[in-house]
Amino acid sequence: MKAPTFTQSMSWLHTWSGLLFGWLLVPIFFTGTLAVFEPEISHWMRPEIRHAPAEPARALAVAEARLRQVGEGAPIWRVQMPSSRQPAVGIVWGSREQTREEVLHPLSGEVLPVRATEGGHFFTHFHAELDAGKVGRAIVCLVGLVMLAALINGIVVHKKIFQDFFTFRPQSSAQRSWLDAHNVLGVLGLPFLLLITYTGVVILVDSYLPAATYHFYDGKAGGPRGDVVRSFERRPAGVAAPLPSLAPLLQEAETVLGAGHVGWIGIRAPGDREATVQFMRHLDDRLGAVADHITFAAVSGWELGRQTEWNPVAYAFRTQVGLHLVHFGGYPAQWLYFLSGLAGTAMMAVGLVLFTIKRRKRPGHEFGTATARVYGAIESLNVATVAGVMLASAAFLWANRLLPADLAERAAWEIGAFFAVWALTLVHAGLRAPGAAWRGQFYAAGLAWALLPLCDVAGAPGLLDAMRLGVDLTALVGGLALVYLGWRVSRRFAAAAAKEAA
Amino acid sequence: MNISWLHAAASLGLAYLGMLGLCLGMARHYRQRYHHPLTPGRGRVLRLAGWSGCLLALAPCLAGWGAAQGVVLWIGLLSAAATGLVFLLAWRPPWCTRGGALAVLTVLAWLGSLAFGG
Repeated sequence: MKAPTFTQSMSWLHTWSGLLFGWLLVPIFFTGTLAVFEPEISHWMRPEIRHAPAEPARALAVAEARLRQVGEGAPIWRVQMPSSRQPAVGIVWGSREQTREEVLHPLSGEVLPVRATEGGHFFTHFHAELDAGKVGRAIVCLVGLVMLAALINGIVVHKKIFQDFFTFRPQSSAQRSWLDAHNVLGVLGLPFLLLITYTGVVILVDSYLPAATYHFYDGKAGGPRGDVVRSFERRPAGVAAPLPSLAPLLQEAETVLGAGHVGWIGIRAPGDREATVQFMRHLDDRLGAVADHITFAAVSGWELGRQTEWNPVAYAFRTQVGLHLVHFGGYPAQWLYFLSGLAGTAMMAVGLVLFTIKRRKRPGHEFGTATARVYGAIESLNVATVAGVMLASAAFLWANRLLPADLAERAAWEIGAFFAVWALTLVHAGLRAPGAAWRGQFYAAGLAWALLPLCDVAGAPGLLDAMRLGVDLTALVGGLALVYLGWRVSRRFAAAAAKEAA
Repeated sequence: MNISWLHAAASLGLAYLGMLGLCLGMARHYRQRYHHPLTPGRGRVLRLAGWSGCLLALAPCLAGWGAAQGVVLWIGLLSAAATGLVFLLAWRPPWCTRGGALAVLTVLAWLGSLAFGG
C-alpha cells in the first residue's frame, strides 16, 4: 500500500480531529460568542435594575453610606462603580473566606431586590472551563490546541485559498455547497479565528505549564501576577480610627486615572488606623487588560502608591488577554467579535455536517459492520452539539424569567435548566431520524430565541431600557434565522428523500 | 448615535468597496456579475482599486480608535465586508454592486462629518 501524501495525512487529521473535538468546539465557540455580551446578558437577567446615569461621586456616596450601615467590622469592602454597560452600583463586604453583596440604585441608594442569577457570566464560565472546574479547564486547553492545529491543517487541505477566496455556490450539490460554505467562512474569518484561538491558548498558558510557577512561587498560581501588580495594602494596626469620607479621595484618584474612569474601589480594614483605599481604572478603552490603580491611606489621605506604567512584557501578555476579552473598542468592536464568533460557530457546525454528508453518499466503512450505527450516533451528536446547545442557551434565559424570584438555589436551577435541556436534545437527536432531529431542534431553538422578547416583557416588571431591548432584538433576529435554517434543512432532506424514492 | 459607529461604517464601506474590486477583478466573478468576460485592462484597474480600498479602510479605524485598537478593527472589518460580499454575490449578484453604492454613501457621510467638524 502506498504511503499517503502530506495533504492526505493532513486531510485525515482535519476530518477526525475536527469531528471529535468539534462536538466541544461548537459549544465552546457559541458560548464564547454570547460571552462577548456578558454585561448585557447579566443586565437582562436582573430586570430589577434600571438604567440611571449617575455621576461617580454620587454613586460612591450611595455605596459608602450603605457599606457604613451593613459592613461594620468587615475587613474588606468593595465598590463596583456604574458604567454604561453595568448601570447599577455593586457593593461587596466580608472577609477573604466569605463575602456578601448587594446592588444599589446609583441615585437613590435603594437596595435593589435583584434575583439570584449567575447572569451572562455563566456563558463565560462554560466557555472557559465547561462548568467542570479543573478537569473542564484541562479539556478546554486540549481543545484550544487542536483548534489551532485544525486551522493550520485546514489551510493545507484547502490549497486553493486565493483562487476560491470569494467562491460560494449554494445552487450546487449538497456536498459542494456545504464545503464552499465551510471554506469561505474559514478563509475569510481566518484572521479572527487565528486571533481568538491563539489568544485563548495564551490566556491558559499557566494551565499548560504549571510546573514553573509552582516551583518559583511556592505553589501559588497567582504568584507571577503578584510580581507585576503591586499592592500598597498595610497590615491593620488594631487601633480604631473613624473612616473619613471617600469623596475627596475619588476626586484625587480621578486626576490620575481620568474622570469617570474609576471602575472598582477596594477598601481594606475600614475603621482601622491603617485602612487603605484603592481605586482601579476600568479597561474599556485600551487593548491591554491591565487596570491602572492608585492607593491612599484612608485616614490621612496620603497617597501610598500608584501603578500607571507597566512592565512591557507583562503588558504585552495582558494585551493578548485583552484581544481575547474585547473590553476595548466599544460596541463596534464587540459587535464585530460577536458576528465573527457566530460565523466561526457556523463554519465549525458546517464542518460537522460535512462529515456525515460525505458519508451519506459514499460510506467509508471505517467501523466495519458497526459503521451504520456509528454514523447514526455521530449524526445525533452533531445535532445536539450544534442546534441543541443553542436551544439550551435559550432555555437558560427562559428559566431566568420563569423560575420564582425567591426560589432557593435559584442561580443553580437556571444552570440546571441549561444542562437538562441540553441532555434532552441529545436524547431527542438519538431517537429521531437525522432530518427530523435537525428540523425539530432548529425550529425549537429558533422559536425559543425568537420568543425571548415576549418572555422578557411578560416575565419582568418595568419598561425596557436600551440594553434589554438590544438583547431582545438580537434574540429575535437570531431566532428567526434559526427557524429559516430549520426550514431550509427540512427542504433539503425532503428533496434528498424524493430523489432516493424516484 | 456614537461617532465611533460612523468610523466603523466608513471603514466597512471602504473595505467592502476594496473587496468588491478584488472580487470583480477575478474573471470568474466578473462573469458571474456581468455575464460577459473581463478584459485584462479592466481587471488590472479593478484589482488596483480593490487593494486601495482595503488599505484606505484603515484610515477611519485609525481616526476612531488609534493605532493599536484601530488595526484590530480594520482586519476584522475586512473579513466582515468580504463575508457579506460573498453571500450577496452568491444569492443576488446584482446586489453586490448596489451594496457598493451604499458603501460609497457611508464613506461620503463620514467625510462630511470630518469636514464639518462631526
